[in-house]
Amino acid sequence: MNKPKVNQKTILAYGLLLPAFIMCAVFIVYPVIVTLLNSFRPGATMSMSRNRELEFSLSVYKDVITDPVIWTTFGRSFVYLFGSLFPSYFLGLGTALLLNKSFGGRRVFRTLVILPWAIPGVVASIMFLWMGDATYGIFNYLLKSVGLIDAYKAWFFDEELVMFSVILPTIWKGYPFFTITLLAALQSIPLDLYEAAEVDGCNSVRKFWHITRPEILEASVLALILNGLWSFKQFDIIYSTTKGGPGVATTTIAIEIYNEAFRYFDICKASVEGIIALAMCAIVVRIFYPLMTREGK
Amino acid sequence: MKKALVVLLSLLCVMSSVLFAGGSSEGSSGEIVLDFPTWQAEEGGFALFWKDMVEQFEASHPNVKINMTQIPFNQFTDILITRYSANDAPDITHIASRFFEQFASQGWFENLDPYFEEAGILEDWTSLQSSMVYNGHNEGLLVLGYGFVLYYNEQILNEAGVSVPTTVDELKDAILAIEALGNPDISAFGVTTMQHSNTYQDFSNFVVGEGSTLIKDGKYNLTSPEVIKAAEDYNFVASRAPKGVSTEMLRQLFVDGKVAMIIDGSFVVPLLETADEDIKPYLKVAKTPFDYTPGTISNSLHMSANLSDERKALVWEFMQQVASPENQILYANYTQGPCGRLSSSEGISDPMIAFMNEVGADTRSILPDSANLMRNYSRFTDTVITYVLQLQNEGADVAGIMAALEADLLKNSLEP
Amino acid sequence: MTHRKLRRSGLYLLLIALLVVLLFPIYWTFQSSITPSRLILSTNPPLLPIELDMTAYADVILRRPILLWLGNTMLISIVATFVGIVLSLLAGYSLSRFRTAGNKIMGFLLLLSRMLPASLIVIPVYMMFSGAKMINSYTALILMNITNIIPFSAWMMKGYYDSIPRELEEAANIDGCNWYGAFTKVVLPLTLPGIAAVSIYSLILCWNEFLYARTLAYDQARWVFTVGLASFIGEHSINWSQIMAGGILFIIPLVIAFVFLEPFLVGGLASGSVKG
Repeated sequence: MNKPKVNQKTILAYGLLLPAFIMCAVFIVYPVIVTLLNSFRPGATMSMSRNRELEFSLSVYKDVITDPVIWTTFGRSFVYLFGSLFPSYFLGLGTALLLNKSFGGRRVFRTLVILPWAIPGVVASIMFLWMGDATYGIFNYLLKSVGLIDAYKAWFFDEELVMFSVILPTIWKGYPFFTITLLAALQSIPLDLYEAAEVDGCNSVRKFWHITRPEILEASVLALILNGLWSFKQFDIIYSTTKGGPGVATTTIAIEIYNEAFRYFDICKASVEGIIALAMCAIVVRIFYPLMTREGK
Repeated sequence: MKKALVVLLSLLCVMSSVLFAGGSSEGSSGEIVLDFPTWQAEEGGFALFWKDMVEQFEASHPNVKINMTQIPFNQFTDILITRYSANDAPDITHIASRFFEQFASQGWFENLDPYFEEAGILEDWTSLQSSMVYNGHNEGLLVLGYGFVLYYNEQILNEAGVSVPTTVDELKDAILAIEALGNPDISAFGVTTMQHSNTYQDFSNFVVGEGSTLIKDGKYNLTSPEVIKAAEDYNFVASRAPKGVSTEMLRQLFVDGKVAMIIDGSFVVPLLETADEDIKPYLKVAKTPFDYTPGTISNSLHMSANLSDERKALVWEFMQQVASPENQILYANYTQGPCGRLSSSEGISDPMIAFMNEVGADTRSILPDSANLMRNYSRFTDTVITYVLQLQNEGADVAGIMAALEADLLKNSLEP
Repeated sequence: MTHRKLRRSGLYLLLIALLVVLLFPIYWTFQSSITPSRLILSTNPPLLPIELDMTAYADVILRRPILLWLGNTMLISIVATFVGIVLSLLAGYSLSRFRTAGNKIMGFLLLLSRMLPASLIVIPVYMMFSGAKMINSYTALILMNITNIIPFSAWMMKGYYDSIPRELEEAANIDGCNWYGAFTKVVLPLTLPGIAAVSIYSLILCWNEFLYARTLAYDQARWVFTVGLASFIGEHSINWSQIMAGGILFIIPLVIAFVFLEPFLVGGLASGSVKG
């Protein structure tokens, strides 16, 4: 008798996916539950185990959602996110396209291009802080020497410049991720496609638009989503350079949540903000999900 | 395939059982291990002192070991918060005292009053110990409270033709004179010019040093003429200070001879040793150019309220040992700064250390005199810092900024 | 011919210009590690190394347990990457070849695990490991690093699997292979660039991991390199040249690993082994 193929396939499908899923789920389920519970308990203390006796209430949700300051904070998060995500992507795409060509010394170039990724965050932050110093920084020195600015600027102190100044190291540390993933995606495009296009008389731009672009679309969307999630939650770069300041000029939602939890000890408010941030991310990913789960060729 | 998975899983299990080494607090044969994480375990005079204390304690308590671990300073408070929140507090708790009220508000610390009374420590301890009081009782032992001092580069002052300033007006004159030298690499006076808790300190130094307070009779004093004058003086010096500079950078700049004067605590003295040979002889210390010496608290020892009675007793004995007259003198000598016990200054021979102790004994605290504000210290100082940073701009509307600060504080339930 | 040469030189010029701009901060990190701070933190900093002052490196290597940090980091990174990649290879294959409802949900939830801000994860995770008496253990860090690796690696591998026609596996099945045979003999070799990419990604992720390392393994014997570097930031001052020297030493093993993995980034379908 034939065993229905479907059952076997289903077992295989889940069997391959479950170990990875369980591994991640185990370590995220508990924190999400704790955060959710804390968000419903105004006045929750930091000693999480003692919060069980507190009563449920949605009042902090109401306070947070009706607070314009929080939405300004989210706005800043979006400015930071998009300000670093798209430049990183295009820089990564550009370098990947360049490195995809075969030429002598390509290996060396490839190794060098990803170095910013490897530099630890704590060192990169101090380095950018130094380089952007208003009085002694090398950025000011170089920019003034070539005439791009006429006076030294306080890159990490001037409220107008500081968001740009934290986006810059984020792009710097973020683009190699795109370089590597897009390069690998480019490598899996069959050469015959390009050869056929050449025969048809296509130039580089048309080749890119009609062949390369569709082939790397899925990889791009996935990489953008993942790097986007990373940028949205990004804490170390901003905190190590400006601590969210001056004032609140670079206080994104990640900084705000840290402050509420670890400095003001208002774990309920921090949890509420965290759940809202989580919901936003989930919605965005849900919107793009069909694009990411398109059937393969 | 199945085989591979099984092998993998069993490998993981074996690894787990071999590799996991959760710290056990019971050593061999009923030995007790006290957990003592600190950021001062490795380098400098502070480390020498703590190592000495651990040795002394283990010698006098044969069945007890102290596991002193080094934690990087800028991670320390977050790690401690995580551990206390998870109900895994260390036995001996050492913290930067500005977080004291925050921690105490969660009920994490043991009431030390009965212990203090029995040992009679408080009669001979620095007055800054009062900042260790929460809900009417002491919940910590202040290890380091200090007064601010003026560090100056004699060479630059001489070049500008000024002597060490002893009043705020002399300070302003000195700054202008040094600026007149026209050297782009040298700044006359430095303050912390970024989002940093020391920005609050720098500002408060001027307020307290000139004899005023941020809070008077339970109300904000921010728009009074005295505080506004202090804020204007701060604005004068801060608008001329190098911008976007952290406190650590500022100290480095002073040691490198790029900043002529800074106002800072006693712990910069060891840093002076690292200066270049041609700069070192000119780096000196004096009292702050204020009418009163501002002071604040640095770090303190506490006891978790959740320890067993046996451990509480041991931790108290450790604290007592640290507070003993002989060890207090040791503290001052090792750290080249002030110690908690007032009578210790009689036993100190080094003039610089004696000077630090003298300054430390007669200070006015820059901390806000309000239980509510100390409980919300982080939020309070963050708000103040936002406005103080505005005060660092030349031509700032000082009175307007102080009024706006007061309004902001009251709006956010940060009443004194 | 000349046209091609021109394009080639143009390409080199562009790449070099790009590298100079992109790598300047790393160059400056290196420069700061061999130049005393009073020269670097000045209005006229030396752009090129004037004196090769290696005292910072000597201090870091001789006075700090760098080998311990390196060893811990390597152990945790290699084990976590290995396990993480294996699990991701399987999971990605499932996401690619089987589109059940359950798969779609689990795939979504995998991404969800990257959405909660770290500040809210840290304390509950500490509570979990503290309850299991696994604080200051290698296992705790390895496990957390694996959970960092899997979401992206699984999804990325799905992308690579998607680009490989199913006909190849079906052909292998006809030849008598079961799914496992087809997987290992046909699919995997073709996805080598993808595997190389996610391996590099995972290694860098583990090597750079700081939050869980400093929270769950604060005991000095378990310090990883990132935590060791953080210890150069003192209470009152920062040893600038040392931390820069530490940063340079930090990336050297990664560069070596990358040099080893980089050749695998090339290959797969682009090498023309398969007719599209």
